[in-house]
This record gives sequence, C-alpha cells and structure tokens, in this order.
Amino acid sequence: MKPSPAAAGVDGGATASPINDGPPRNTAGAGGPGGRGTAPGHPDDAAGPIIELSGVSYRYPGQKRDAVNRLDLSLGAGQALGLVGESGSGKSTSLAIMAGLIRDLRNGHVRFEGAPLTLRSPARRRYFRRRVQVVFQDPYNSLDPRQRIGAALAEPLIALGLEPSREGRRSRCAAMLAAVGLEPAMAERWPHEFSGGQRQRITIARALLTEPRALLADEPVSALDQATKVELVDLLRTIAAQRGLALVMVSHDLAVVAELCSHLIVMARGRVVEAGATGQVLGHPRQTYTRDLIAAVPRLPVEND
Amino acid sequence: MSAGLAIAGLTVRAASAGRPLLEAVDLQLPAGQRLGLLGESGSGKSTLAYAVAGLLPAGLAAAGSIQLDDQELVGADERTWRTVRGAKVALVFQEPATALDPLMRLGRQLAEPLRRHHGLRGEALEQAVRQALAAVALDEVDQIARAFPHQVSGGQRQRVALAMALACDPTLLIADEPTTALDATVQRGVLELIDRLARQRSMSLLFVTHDIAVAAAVSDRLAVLRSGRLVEHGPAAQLVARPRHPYTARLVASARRFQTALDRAGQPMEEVLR
Repeated sequence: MKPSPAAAGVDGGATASPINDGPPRNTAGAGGPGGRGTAPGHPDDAAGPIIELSGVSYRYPGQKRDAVNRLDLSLGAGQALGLVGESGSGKSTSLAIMAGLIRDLRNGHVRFEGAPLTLRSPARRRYFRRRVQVVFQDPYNSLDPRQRIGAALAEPLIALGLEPSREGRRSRCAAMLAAVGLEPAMAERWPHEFSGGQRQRITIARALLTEPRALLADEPVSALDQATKVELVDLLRTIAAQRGLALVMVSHDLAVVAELCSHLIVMARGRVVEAGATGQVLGHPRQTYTRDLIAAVPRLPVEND
Repeated sequence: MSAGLAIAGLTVRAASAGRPLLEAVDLQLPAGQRLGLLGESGSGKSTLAYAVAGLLPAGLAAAGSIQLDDQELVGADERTWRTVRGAKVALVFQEPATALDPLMRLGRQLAEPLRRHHGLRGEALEQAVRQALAAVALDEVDQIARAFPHQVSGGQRQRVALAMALACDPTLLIADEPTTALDATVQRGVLELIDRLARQRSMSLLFVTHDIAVAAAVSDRLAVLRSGRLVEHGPAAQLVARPRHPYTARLVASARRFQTALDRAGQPMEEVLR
C-alpha cells in the first residue's frame, strides 16, 4: 500500500494508514485518489497519529524467537484498536512497547505524537507518563488494599506534580469518580468494599486523571460477568469519544473487541496474522487462525422446539 | 442411594459478622446432572463450591444443610471429610498450577491418588496413569507423565489437574472457573472434555463461572447467585430464553449484545465504523 498523501504529509515515510495494511483511508481511497478521508485538512490527519509503531521487533532475553516481529501500526485520536490472539501471541508485549515499558527493541521505531519515543529526559518522561496510561486486567492487583480509593486516585497527580493543592486533588478525584459512574463519597472507602466492576472503574478513573491522550488496556474486562462487561465497554467507549482518546485494547475475547474496537490486529507467535477494520477481519477472515478464534467463542443456547 | 447433592437453607457468614456471604440458598443437583452456577465476583459462587467441598477457610461458618447422597456435610468432622473429599467430591480450579506440585513430575502426581484410593502398584499403577492421561485427551502420554508442570501448556496442565480430580471416580465434580485462564480455542477443548467425561461417567457437575455462555455450554440447568442469594434457577435453554430475574435478564442481554457484535461483523464498513 502506498502512503496516502495526507498522512505522508504529516510524517514522511511513516506508516500511512491508521492500522497496518489498512482500513478507512484505503477503503475511502478505493473510490479514487483523494477520496473522502484522505483530504488534507481532515481533523484526524491534522492532529497526526498519537502512537505509531513501524517495523517493531522485540525478543525477550534468552529467547529463540521474537515475542513481537515486525509490527506496524498507527493510531489516531478517537480510534480504538483491538489486539487479539492467544497466549504467547505477543499482544501484551506489544502493549508494553506502546506503554514505553519495553524500550530495547531489536528493530523498528515507536513514535508518540509524531516524535521518537525516547524517555531519557525527565521532562519528556513525565510528559509521556502523563499522556499514556495503562489499565490492567486485574483491578485487585492494581489497587493497594491498605490505601483508600481517594489516596489511590491522587497518587498519579502527586507523582507527576499535576496538582499541588490537597483540596484541588480532592475535587478532581471526586469529579473523576462521578465521570466513571461512581459516587464521589466512595473516595473515603477501601478497595475490598467494591465489586470487580467497580474496582475496574476506579482504575480507569485513576488513568484518566492525568488527562491521557492514549489509554492502553490489557484484558480490562476479562475477569467480569457479561453484564458488568457491557457496562465497562460502554464506559470505555464514552470516555474515549468524549476525550478523543486513542484506545488500545488487548483481549482474547473477540466479542468484546468486536463491540468496542473499530480496528483489529490478530496476532500469533509474535506476528500479525491479519489486520484491518474490525468488520472486515471478523466478517471475512482470510486466515484459518482467525476463523478458529471466531468459532471458539462460546455461544448462548437456543431453545429446542 | 445416589440422590445427588441437596442444599437447603445454606447460610455462610464470616466470624466477624457483617452481611452473610451466602444466605438461605436452596439448590438441588440430582445425580448425573450438570449445574452451572453463575455470578459476578463477590456473589458467593466460589464460597458455595468450597462449602460443598468442605474447604471453607477458617473464620467462615456454614449453617443449614448440604447433603451428598443423603450424607449430611454441614458440621461434618475432618475424618468424615477425608472419606468424601477426593473420593466423592473432586475439584478443579481456575489456575491448574495451584493444584500441581511444581517440583514433581506430572506422572508421579497423578499416581498418588490412584495408589491411595485404588491400591495400585508397579506396572498396574503405571498403566492406570497412562489411561488417566489418555482419558483427558492428552496425546504423547509418556512425555507428559515425565514432564514437570512448567514444561506443559496451560491447557495441558488443566487436563492433568482434571485427570487427578477424576482419579478416584468422584460422583460430583466441582469446577471453579476452570477455563477462565485459558485461550478461547483451548477453552473450547477443555469444555468439550468436561462435558464428555461427565456424561461417560454419569458424574454430577457443578460448574462455577461468570460467563453465561460457558455455563450454558456444559450445563443442563443454571443457577444465578447475586450478593449471596440465589436469584433464579432453571433449565439452561429456558433460563436464557426467558429470564425472570432482572439480573439474569441483564446477563442474557449483555451476552447477546456481544454475540451480535461478533455476528454483525462483515456488514458495510461505514456502518461498522459508525
């Protein structure tokens, strides 16, 4: 695929399409060059991608194969990307690379807001930590049981020096609890007093307090029942839209990804098996691996007669 | 005989008082039937499973009645439990690694219950280990028997844990989120295996999960727990088609929405992208 003119203008040479080999711009472009979406001055293009990976390979020390091999992706504001695959496919490693937690790459480049991701300068590091936030699968592990919710929420504000006043922190935390559908008074309570779904709302609130541009979520709803899952998926969709977040979700749950993500990358053994618009990949899977993943999703029974 | 599991007025509370973890739960699981126990984290579903297996942590007290094949288990002493646990009631957990000794070869671990409960020795024991591994659909039986737990995959570990649970031909198998930590494709294999083994052995199955589609895949009946109370139970297909309790209705509707999202795929791009 040739880079589309608009995207190439933002950043010559980098991957042009939002995701790997693809979707919306290419689709739009299929109608002819300069079709809808490739027009210069499109808001997304003007802003440029938030996270870009080009040719990224990483191998854990002592391993014989790459955990991630030649991964390309580019994600803009308001886009939601699902990374799916089985254990060992490299999806969580990819997320760790995007989060700047893994930096000694074998190959390739990571760019954040158009600039290479180097975290050597403390100011740059603080900025990146503030603008890219991560939510993990198990909220039990993300919240210190001996810390009240209010203190847990305030921590990134203190660590990143975003809000010097105690009163200011308190009101910001209260507002954020309300934004994720919890009572502001819950700041006074302890993690064990909350259900799994509520705890995950709390970790999302904490991530949002630093006003991130990208939210990276590793299996954020996998441990929850379907009713709670739906609520959290709706919450993630709403906050991502309201705040123009670039959202990346790692999941082995294809249905959740289908519900939330506009784009999808299917990984196996560190490599991209398929990538594109979610509907394209799930509706017309080209690879057996993807078809098997879809077929394995458990389905509700239908009543006989 | 063989009346199965009958739970009546089961209440479990912590010594430190507070809201009970389970409150007045009535539930029947006739011999040979399969029941899916559904609920969110904190609903009491694992507490119920542990109560039936006599594994409630110290500090939790059960009141009411749990009868397995007409034997009362609430208040049973540890000596009674030793004749019940493993022999009549067996368990598999979410994380098979917790059921396996990391320093012992899988074959030896599996041999232990077979030796203790069936009195097998030598060649007969080795043969029984091989059979037990083959029964849980593990290929390369000898290689698995020689391996340590960390040398096999998560799905294989869960199959070995299942083989150990089944070693003494229990009448009731309790499976607590046994596939939650597994990939979807591996999950499907393990679910099919549990389903097949339960049928072959006419074993009762209590399958604990937060996933209604998974529960329905291996169960004749479903029971829904919420905040320690049983809110609804009935035949799986019926409960999914016509849920009566609002929480069950929400579970079903949510599961349907995810299913629809998956099925909707393949529609025109503009619609998918919204």
